[in-house]
Amino acid sequence: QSLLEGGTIEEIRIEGSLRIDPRTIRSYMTVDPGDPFDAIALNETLKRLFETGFFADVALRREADSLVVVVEEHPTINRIAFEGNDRIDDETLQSEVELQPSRVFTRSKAQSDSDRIRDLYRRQGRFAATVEPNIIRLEQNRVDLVFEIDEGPKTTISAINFIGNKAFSDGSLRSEVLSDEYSFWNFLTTTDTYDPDRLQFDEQLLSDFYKDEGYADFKVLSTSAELTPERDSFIITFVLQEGERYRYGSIDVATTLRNLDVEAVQEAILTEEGEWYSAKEVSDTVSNLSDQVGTLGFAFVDITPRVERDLENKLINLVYEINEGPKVFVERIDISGNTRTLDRVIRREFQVVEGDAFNATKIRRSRDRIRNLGFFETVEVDSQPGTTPDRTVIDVEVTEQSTGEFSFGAGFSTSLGPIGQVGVRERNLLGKGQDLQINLLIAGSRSQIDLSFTEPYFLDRNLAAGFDLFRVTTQQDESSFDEERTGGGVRAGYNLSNDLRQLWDYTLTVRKITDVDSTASTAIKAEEGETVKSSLEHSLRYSTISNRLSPTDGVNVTFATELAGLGGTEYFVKNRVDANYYIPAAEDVVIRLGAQAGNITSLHDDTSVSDRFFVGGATFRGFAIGGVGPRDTNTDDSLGAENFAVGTIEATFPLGLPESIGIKGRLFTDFGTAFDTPSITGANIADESSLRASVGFGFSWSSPLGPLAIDFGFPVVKEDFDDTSILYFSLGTQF
Amino acid sequence: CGSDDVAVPYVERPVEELYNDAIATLAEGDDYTIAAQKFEEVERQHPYSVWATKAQLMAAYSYYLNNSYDEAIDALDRFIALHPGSPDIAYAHYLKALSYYEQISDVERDQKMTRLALESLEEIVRRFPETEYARDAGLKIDLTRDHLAGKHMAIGRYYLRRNQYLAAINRFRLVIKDYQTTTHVPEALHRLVEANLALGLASEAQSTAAVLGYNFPGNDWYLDSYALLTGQDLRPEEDKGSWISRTWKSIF
Amino acid sequence: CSNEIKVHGNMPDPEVLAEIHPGVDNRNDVLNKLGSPSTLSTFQDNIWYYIGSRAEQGPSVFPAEEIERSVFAISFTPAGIVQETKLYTLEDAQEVELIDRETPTEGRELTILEQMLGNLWRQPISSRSKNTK
Repeated sequence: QSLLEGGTIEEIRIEGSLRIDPRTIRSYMTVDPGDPFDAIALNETLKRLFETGFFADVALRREADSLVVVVEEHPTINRIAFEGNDRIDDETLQSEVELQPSRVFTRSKAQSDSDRIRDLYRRQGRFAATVEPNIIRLEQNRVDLVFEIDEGPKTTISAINFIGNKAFSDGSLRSEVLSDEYSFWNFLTTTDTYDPDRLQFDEQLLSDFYKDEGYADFKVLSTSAELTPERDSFIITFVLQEGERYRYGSIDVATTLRNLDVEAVQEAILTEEGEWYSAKEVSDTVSNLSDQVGTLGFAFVDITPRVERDLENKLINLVYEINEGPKVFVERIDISGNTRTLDRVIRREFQVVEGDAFNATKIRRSRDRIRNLGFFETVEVDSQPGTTPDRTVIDVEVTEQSTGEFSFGAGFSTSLGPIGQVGVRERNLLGKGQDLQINLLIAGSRSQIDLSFTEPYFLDRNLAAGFDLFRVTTQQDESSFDEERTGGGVRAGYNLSNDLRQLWDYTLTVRKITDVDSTASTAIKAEEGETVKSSLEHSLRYSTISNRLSPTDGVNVTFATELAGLGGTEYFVKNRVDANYYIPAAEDVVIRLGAQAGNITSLHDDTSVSDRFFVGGATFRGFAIGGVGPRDTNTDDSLGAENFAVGTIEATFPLGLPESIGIKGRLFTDFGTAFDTPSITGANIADESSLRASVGFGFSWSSPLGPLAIDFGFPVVKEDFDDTSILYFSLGTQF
Repeated sequence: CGSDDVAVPYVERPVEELYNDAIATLAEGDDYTIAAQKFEEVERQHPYSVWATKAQLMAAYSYYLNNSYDEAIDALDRFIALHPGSPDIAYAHYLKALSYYEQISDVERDQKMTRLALESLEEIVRRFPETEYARDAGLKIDLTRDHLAGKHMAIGRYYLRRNQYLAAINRFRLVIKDYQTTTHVPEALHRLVEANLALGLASEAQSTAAVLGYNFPGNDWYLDSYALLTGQDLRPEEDKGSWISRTWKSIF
Repeated sequence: CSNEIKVHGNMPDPEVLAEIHPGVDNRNDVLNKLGSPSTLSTFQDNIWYYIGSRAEQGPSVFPAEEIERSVFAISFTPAGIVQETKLYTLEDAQEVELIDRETPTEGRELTILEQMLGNLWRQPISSRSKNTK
């Protein structure tokens, strides 16, 4: 009869259960013997049983006064297999799939797993891949699940076209977007495959590019990807609407903050009247203003740029409104996910302290500082409501990544011969943020082992302190002796300002001059034996260079003074200046003006060959190491100079090849001199302070095997006793 | 198609034989992972036998012995979902709590495991109050809460040492408010005396010290507070840590 | 270049503090004018504190030097009306030597080996051996 005729449930029977024992089913049901046959309760029971996910079907039946629950269980999975996959191995697929052996099989889970596998293939650019789950029935309601995979061809991008671009050529726009056109020799790149998400990102890149060049109304009208007739690659077409190009009109600052002096923040404004409009400049100005107002002690600041378009004369008028922000305070900073790194190593990067005013710019900068530590894969910082409306809790969620590095490199350079290098480095030792590295280098004319340890926040201050141990043996062929240097040192460094850094470094080094050739200069022979240098070095480093790897603008100057004689056998003062000024010239051409100069003055007897300057090789192209400077003309040994000065003018430029290859050409001229070894005299000692000069050209290529640099230097002005060397070449880890 | 259990070859065998083989491997105690996989083999080949339920629990136990906590918790979650009515359900919850408890890391690191352990321990005390597991869980709950209080203390001290008194005060007050039964309360009270004195809030410092003295009369921390407030040190002069030891500690 | 001014905590302007009138304002008035208190008295629940400080940060290697501190205490009558306000400043501060001792905590201290290997091999090695039941 129908369930709803009333009366009470005498007994509950369960039919069709195999794996799930009846007691389990009863524990999920909301009706018991003695309850009335009530539609709502029975419906609730039905829902609960389905929610367990164990059953393909559940039905309720009434026989007289007993409630019969008929269940049909989902089969359980015996084994899972993958067929037709060769680009992606079984193990990766298994970890991507949710279903596991002895789990309950449902058609919907199998379908969602197939989608996951297909997404894996799409991310590798194989959009034609298809995945079919099918099952082989076994006894005892078990199944084997097999995913039939057809990977299909790799769908690459054969062409990227632009329509509606008047201001910029297709070529320059192509270098702005991330996607590349497929080319056979560019086997390393993965961005030449069709990926809809990346195309969306490309639209954003195009918009940012145009908006920084003054095209405030720029829009990407449409992006289309058509399959070529052979169906194995796509043609991408971006339809653009550039709109007008705007300049800045009036630039003003309006504020409701009581005692904020508007003049004091003028220097933070990057946007100048008459210049081309740039969206990035406006947003940079907003964060500059927020910093500037913050340093003047205003806690709650809310800055919004009001933009007015003046269509006739294509001007954009800006008013930066600086108003009082909402008074919100930081209740707590909760850090989670740091399974290895200590809480304080992250907390000390925070510019904001618990109880402080909530300042979005400072919190964003704190997040970037944590990211720059390089200890974490992801760093997410977001705020949750606090216990009162005007308080928030800042949640910092990090995921650790391996900070241990095991590096080995090989290479060759004309100055050192074949080179092998092995290094172990831990950048987050014991989760304390300390850095420990051990490097071993074996080259033709040098072998070196060194260990260095750094604590970035010594005594809980912004003071990086550490110690080094090293042992270096070099064959100074140009002076026909071998030198062995063993020692250690302690150092400390800190920032005096954003761009200025000061370093102190005490080192104690034992130097042994050995295996002096019998034909060596008497001056060199006199230096055989052991000397001990115990010295303190102070250096100031000023640098405004943004991109240290391949600098395009800015200047860096290092001035170092070394005082030797705190014990040990050597007494001298050694000063050295290194300066480089980078000037961005036309289309990606960078001019570098370089200057290096140094002097060593003995305070006691004579300077040792280990401390004098050997100019040449990389520092003075066209000349061998020590090629410029005092020389024993009988034995052709370089004796090292007490003074030197070298200047460089160099231009680096792309060779017109696509940027992704990374080849750059350069033209240069080096000029300078090295002279003075007063303590060494004799007819055979040549020591001239005349100017030498060389001109030359070279290439640098960031090849898959490592950075490669070739320079051809031709000495044009030289002393006849100087030792020249045209070719300077280095591949692999840079020395 | 190849079997995906590399270690254990896929051979159909009667269930008792499989089960006893797994028990033997477990008893030898040299490779718990193999034992766990053998128990899982029982469940996979004979999912409907009475052995399958027991095997699932034993697999979890083997993973636990091998400190493969994630696998143990995963197997236990499946057991709890499949057999909520089983007589071993209390033990399953207890084993899960232990799997979290043993991953608790020191106070300066992420306390996710501590919170998960606390939740599952409290669930045992709530759902299975009369079992022996509940008694042990009660004990471990105190230790877990003490540990969470330790984390707040570490952060409080971090701010105190940087003269951020407000931040420090609120962390120590949190310990006193939410972790009254932990071993950190005396120190939290003393730190409040230190912070309030540094701010010049003498009355606040005195009232806090009074509470410390009343509740923990002989405690060292009270002697420290008393010394701070009255300027006399009632304890023999102990080395307060010279400059060198403070530097040493800041590195190691 | 001028040193950076760092403001910590809740530091209302002096004029705003002057608008709190004992005997007149109640807790809500204080909340509207100053926002929620930085902290409460631990054991006297009728006292609110607004604590803030201003420090000048020279070169980042030297800690910021506190140049101004405002610790504003407000006590309330049982009826919730402001009874008395008192402002403590840097002059009231006392030099306090912090005790180094710490209450011990357990928790699995990652062994050095574990930390080094923790990178190269994610499976945690537990230091304690297990006795089978």
